This record gives sequence, C-alpha cells and structure tokens, in this order.
Amino acid sequence: MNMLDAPTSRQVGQHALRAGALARTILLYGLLGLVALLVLLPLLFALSLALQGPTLSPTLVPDFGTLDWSSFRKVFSEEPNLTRWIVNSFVVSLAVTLGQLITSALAAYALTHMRFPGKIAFFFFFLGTLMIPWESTIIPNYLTITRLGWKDSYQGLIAPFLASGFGIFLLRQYFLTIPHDLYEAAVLDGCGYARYLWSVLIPLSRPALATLAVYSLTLVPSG
Amino acid sequence: MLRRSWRRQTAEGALRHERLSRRERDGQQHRVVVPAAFTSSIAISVASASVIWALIYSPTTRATQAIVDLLQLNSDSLLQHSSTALVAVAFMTTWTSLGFNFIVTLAGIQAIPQDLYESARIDGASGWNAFRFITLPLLTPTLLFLILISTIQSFQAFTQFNVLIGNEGPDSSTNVFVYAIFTAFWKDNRYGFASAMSVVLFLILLVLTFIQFRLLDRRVHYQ
Repeated sequence: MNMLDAPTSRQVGQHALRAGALARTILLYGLLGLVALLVLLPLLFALSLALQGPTLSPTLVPDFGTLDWSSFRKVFSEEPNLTRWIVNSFVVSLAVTLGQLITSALAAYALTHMRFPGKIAFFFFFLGTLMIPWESTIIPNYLTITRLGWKDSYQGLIAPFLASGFGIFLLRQYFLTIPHDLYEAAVLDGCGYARYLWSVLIPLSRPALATLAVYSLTLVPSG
Repeated sequence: MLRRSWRRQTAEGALRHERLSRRERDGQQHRVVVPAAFTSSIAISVASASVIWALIYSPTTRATQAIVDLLQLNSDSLLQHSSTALVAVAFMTTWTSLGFNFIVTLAGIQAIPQDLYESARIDGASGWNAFRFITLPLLTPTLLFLILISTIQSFQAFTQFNVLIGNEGPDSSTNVFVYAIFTAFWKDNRYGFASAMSVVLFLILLVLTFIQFRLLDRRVHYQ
C-alpha cells in the first residue's frame, strides 16, 4: 500500500534532524579547516621558499615541476655538526623538562594546598623571575657555571633551568581549577600530602603537565 | 561517615571519568589533527618565525602586496610605513604566540568536569549558554595566567623587532622598550643608562602585573 511507503512525520523529522546535524558538521569542519589553513600558511610558505632553490624572486606557490630539495641536503652537508647539536639539544631539553615538571608541580602544590606565612610573597617572587628578560641572566649564569667548573658540560646547560617561574604559575592556575572538594575528601580519608599529589592531582593535571612539557621541550633548543 | 564515603566516591569518580573521557577522545581523529594545526606555531622560535614573516612582508614575494595597494601606502612593504609597521609586527607576534595560548586554553577546558555540561543540558542549557556560564567562568584561572604571561612577553618583545625591522623603524614607530635598551647598550655604549632602563622595565612589569592580578583575581572563579 502507498500509505506504508510514505514516511511518517516522525521519520521525516528524524531525517531533517540528521541532515541538519550533517550540515552543521560539514560547516564546522569547513570553518576549522579554513582557520587551520590560515594558521599553517606561514609554515607552508617557509616550506615553499625552501623548495624553490637559490632564487632572487621567490613566489608564494612553488612551481611543482621543479621542486628543489637540495636546500635540505645542504643544511646537513654544510653543517656537519648538526647531528651533534640535535643530540645535545635533545639530552638537555629532556633533562630540563623533567626537572621543571618536578619542581613546578611541587611548588605549585605548596602554593595552592598548603598554609604557610608569606605565601603571596613567594608567589610574587616566582612571578617576578618572569619579568627579568632571560637575556640579562645569561652573563650571571655563565659566571656561576664557570666558577663551578661546569663549562662545556651537560650539567652546566641543565642546572640553571631546572626551575621556572613560568611552570610554577601555569600549574598553580591549573591546580586551582581542580575542585577543592577532592582534596578535602582525600584528607578525610587519611590521604597524606604526598599521596594526594601523586595519586589525585598529578593524574588529573595531565593536560597541564603535557602543556608545560611541550613548552619547555620546544623552548630549550631555541632559547 | 556517609559524607565521607560520598566524598571519596566523588574523588574516585572524577579520576575514573578522566580515564573514560581520555578513552573516548582517543577514538576521534579530528580531535588530534585540528589541535595539531593550531598548536604548530609553538614549535617555532620567535627568531625563525620572524624570518618567515620577514619573507611574507617582503616586497619581493609580493605576498602582502594586495594590502599595501589597498591602503595606498607610499612604501614598498607594510614594515616600511610608520602607520602599519607596528601593527604588522603585532600580527606576526600574535601568530607566533597562538600555538602556546591555544594549547594552554585546551588544557584548561579539559579540566572542566563533563558532568557539569550534562546537568546543564538536562536544565536546557547548551551551546552558547553552556560556554558562557560553565566554560568561561571555570576557565578564568587559565585566562588570568594567559593575560599576565602575554603582557609580560609583549613588554619584553625584542627578537621580532630586531629581525623584521632591524632599526627604530619608520619614524621610530617600532622603537619599543627593549629595542631602546638594546640601542643604548650596543650602539650608543651607554651601559649605565641601559642597565637603568632594564631595572625600570622590571619595575613597570612588576607594578603592572600586581595591578592586573589584584583587579582580575577577584573576578576569577576558583573551584
């Protein structure tokens, strides 16, 4: 019968809903893709220039027929120490990142969950270290490292950066977003300071810890 | 006793929920690709980004020629006109810091418990209202962090001015604080004067950050 083939009004409604959801998804992806492309444009542009070889008048989009990959080979052949530099950066970054994660988490924990006199003063002291340009700390750091006899060594590159006001501030703000109820509940259950940090706060703060790790991993080779 | 067990359940629930939502997230590829695009600029140092943008603004690549023509500037590039040079550097700086700001905001959003959104949906609030009354208030600690850090970093900006402009800019329009310190120290050899300027910059930042913190911390929603 014809009546059976005709969709009921509810089916039509569901169908429209699904079509609407689909249109929304497409629109969302389109917008996201567009913005992502805009964000990536400068990077793609740098890649495009690297592939155009030695030219005096580079263009926005490279000629895909004559891509010149020699620039990348030259980076390695003209800088034979490059591999060594990369390894050095890697070792130092990893050590500094690990150190910063530990010191920042501990300091931020104290600033957010403990009561002690001068808490605000300590917080502003940490914050104050961010206001001194790192360029002006190069010479004092260099002198300290030289006096310690750590020149040309890994510990000389690592030790000055094991703690950072930046990491402490970042984790302090993040720890404050985690409901305080959790802390009270844990304390009521007889959970100590160390255990709360290790088994509740750290697992819940993984996004922030990952952010700090990415930040210090990328900052150390460049800074 | 009842209260105690309820609170313990809350803590365990929060942890379990964290793990659960992580598993849900793993299945969704678009939640990896798009954030990766937005975060990409975190991997580029300010110096490298400045080189890329120097090429984008350069009249030889003609990438920004359309804007120069549109504004009818009587200069070859946006960087050579006193009314656009500072804006152009600011735009480049915004792009460079986008990755960092994005990843920190993302981490902050991930800290917001999902059940808040669920109860809001039951109460009939979704979309914009959920963003306005759940996401935004609970994100304020993170936003406070980003405002303070961005202010400090902007005041300390130097590399991009040195690479993109390399002097005081057209009609001194890009002669920012740290660039003035740099000129006093390296070009005019006024060491005492440059040091005094550095101390003044530190004090300005200290006062500014303190005011920002006092004004904004009252409006920050800590759980």
